[in-house]
Amino acid sequence: MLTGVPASDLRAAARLFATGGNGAIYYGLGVTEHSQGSTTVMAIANLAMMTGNLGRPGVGVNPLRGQNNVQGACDMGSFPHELPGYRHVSDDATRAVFEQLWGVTIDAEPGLRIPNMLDAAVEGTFKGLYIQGEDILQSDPDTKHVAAGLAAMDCVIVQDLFLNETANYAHVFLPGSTFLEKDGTFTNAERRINRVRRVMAPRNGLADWEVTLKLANAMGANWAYTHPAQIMDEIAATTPSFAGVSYELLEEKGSVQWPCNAAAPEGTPIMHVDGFVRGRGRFITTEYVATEERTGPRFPLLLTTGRILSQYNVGAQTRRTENVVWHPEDVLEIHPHDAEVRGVKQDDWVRLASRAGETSLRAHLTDRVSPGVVYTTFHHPVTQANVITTDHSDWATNCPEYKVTAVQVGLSNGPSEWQRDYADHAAQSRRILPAAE
Amino acid sequence: MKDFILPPKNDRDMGTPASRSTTMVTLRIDGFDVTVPEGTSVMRASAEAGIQVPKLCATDNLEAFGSCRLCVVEIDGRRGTPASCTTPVADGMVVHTQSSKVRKIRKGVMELYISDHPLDCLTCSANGDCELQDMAGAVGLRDVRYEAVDTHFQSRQNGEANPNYIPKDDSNPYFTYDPAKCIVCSRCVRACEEVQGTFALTITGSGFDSRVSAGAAGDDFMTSDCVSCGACVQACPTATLQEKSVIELGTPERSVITTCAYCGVGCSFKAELNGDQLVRMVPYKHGKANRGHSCVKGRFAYGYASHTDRILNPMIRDRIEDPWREVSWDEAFSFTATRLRDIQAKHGKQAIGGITSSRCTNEETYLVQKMIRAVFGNNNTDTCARVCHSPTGYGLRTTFGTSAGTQDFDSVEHTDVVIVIGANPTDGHPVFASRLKKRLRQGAKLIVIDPRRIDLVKSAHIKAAHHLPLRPGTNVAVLTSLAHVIVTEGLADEDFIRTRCDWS
Repeated sequence: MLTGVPASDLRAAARLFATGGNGAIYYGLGVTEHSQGSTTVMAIANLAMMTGNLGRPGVGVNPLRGQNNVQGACDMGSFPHELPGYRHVSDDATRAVFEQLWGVTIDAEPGLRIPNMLDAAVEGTFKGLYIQGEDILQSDPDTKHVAAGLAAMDCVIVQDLFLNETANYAHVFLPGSTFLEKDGTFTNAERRINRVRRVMAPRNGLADWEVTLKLANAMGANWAYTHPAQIMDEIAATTPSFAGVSYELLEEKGSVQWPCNAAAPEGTPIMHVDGFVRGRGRFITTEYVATEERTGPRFPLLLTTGRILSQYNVGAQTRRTENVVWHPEDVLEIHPHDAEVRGVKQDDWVRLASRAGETSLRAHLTDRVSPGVVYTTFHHPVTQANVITTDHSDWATNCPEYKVTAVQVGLSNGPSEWQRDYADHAAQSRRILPAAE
Repeated sequence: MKDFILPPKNDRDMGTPASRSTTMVTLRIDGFDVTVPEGTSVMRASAEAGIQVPKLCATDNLEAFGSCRLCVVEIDGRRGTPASCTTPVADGMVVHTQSSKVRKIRKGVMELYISDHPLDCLTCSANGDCELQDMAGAVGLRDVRYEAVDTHFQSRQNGEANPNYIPKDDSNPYFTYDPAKCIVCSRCVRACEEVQGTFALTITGSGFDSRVSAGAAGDDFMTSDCVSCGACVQACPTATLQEKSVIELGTPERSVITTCAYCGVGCSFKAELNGDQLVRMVPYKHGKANRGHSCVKGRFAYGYASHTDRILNPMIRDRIEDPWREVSWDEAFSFTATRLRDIQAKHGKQAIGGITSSRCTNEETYLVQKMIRAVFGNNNTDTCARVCHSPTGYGLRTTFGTSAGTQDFDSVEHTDVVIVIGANPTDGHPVFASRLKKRLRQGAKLIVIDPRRIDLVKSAHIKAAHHLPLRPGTNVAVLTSLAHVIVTEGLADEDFIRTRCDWS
């Protein structure tokens, strides 16, 4: 059985979804972080279209975004091939809008993706990286490769609240401000643009947008924004799906869902009501292609990963709150059968090894996972779960295949050599000279 | 430009939830005509007319309960004194909220509540923010005639230990439970059930001895099923369930509406402060994503903002082997600008780039990509969404034409069958999970496709119709087989496909 799911269960689930009334699909990173992540998203879209479950309340395709502003960061032109509003950099008309406003020429060729930047750094052709509010060393796959890429650069700039793991490889640290200390907007999973309001002054002296502004000006720009509302006005002026958005509107409405423009002045709670944005919905053939990450005699188990309620992602914030009482360390969930044949008992230290690397953590025996599958969270840097994950990725977008790694589990004496070396290196790297020197 | 600090407008507690009916009904309350949707309670209709009927067990995010007997009214042509929270309006109804009869009843009821409540108001953490205190004032309670013999809060007058006394539970890091102050209104129990959907709390004992309990006897809040969402604390009308931050810092004096910075649900909060001291985060009931609910992270886990690990000064170093050196902002910017320009002079324009963050605001993200494209002069910008939802962008753009979810969160209230695949909402998106669970308790069916038996598969009053525990890496095979069954068994919506999709 390829999927491990009995055919009768698949049939029953399919019948229920197709005949049960309004059908809605909610999904998370267990869909996207696979070598066929994009294919899976299209298979979900196919399922919604073939059952007529789009364009009204109670139905739809709902990606549950992991972070407060994933939707917004994508909308704002963060990707190397897209300007704000998902418009390709090779599109002359779009480039012209920004070129005219900014007074520069924009490269018509897409730039490098994160994995390509790191590859180029290892090769010696990519030398400087400005990282705002992300800890790529901890959150990106194949930690050793990330470390090698960062270590090869001449100027790594980290802007963050804390000396995160990436900062161990940085030359410049620019202190960041929390959401309590600045004005702005976040766009949530339902495309809702919500105001973030300054509750207190930035403890570091500057809101994050001011830091970027001053760095740009130090490099020769001449930006004069004095409030994030003016940046939103520029976004609205250049990006059709945001054309109607302003801080005044947000004060009046509380929040608004894009598209918000002349066609939808109060925003768009539900999309594709009268027709799909692209015209007609498009079915895509979704052939199953197994990942190259295979189990075998050396690595017979499949590792998958996830989050726990009290902790958040790499834990930079929640580890620094009293939430640690609920989750002081990451543990490895393993089925009692798989544990027994390995001599592993509850709370034993185990070595978790993949083709990419190994780490150690404690075992938690549970039948939440099926035999053959193990599971862990990735909230604590000491666990280094991404030492284990491989460099396989989604065929269309390079999204890493975090959710499938062939592993072996065995008893261990405690933290691995990598974990110990890393801890030493981190302590060394975090030294701050006293102000007097 | 002015920083907006919104007063908490429309923040009044209407007592019971709004009715969804579109049929309107007109009644007369204390001489005022008021028109409200059918199904509205007399209490809420009164609030619409600007008349606040005294109440303790009612609050507008919970179904009416009718236990405190404080909200009784008189209605012409009806016998007795019905509770206004559980009495629906009717056309032509004539209601009196302040007759001498109901005023006398309320005073008597309050007298009983207060006879078993400590009178340490001045030093109580809820002083100034206590509904019991407000109601004692509203009904004009002036005297308590009962002797303090068998209370839950003090030793007996003869010096014997008081078997009714239950000590304070401060096991949870963020809030305390003080049974001495409990009036057994059940708002916390109902919030845990109706709003959060965890069913961790119950009332144990009966009559005078009843008290709130987290789980079985011997459990405290930490060992119970409690997930620390704080809905009970928010619902509590007294200091029985109280944030430790309020106990320490006092009652907040101002509030600012803002948005949580954790997950993609995007809950709206009132940040409540004294000066620039954050006292507590209270989910904003008019927030359209969360409708007044929150999880443990958004409500309580903001302490990182003032953690001593925070770096507050810019730092630079020549080589990563060197220790950091604190510098002025100006020096940090000029050091950085010089290094980046030197790299470009030596290795070409394409040798630098930047990464934007899904943790930062739209405006900050826009500026970073603008700096890279306009100042660095290349397109070497990427974002952490690369490692999470980039396939969503590709997949939904290809099939639908735009890279975004199709619904609002309110949509879940209208769904009949839900597939949750590759997500663990009770951990990852807890406030959405609570809204989903509410709909499931109303009868919607659930299909979970996940290698792991997540909590949604089976939890209090929730059981998935199907859990498909697939092998990691076989999502496409499972989804395609679902589609195969739907097509081969003739269950596809051909009409929708022919009119709305490519048919060929």
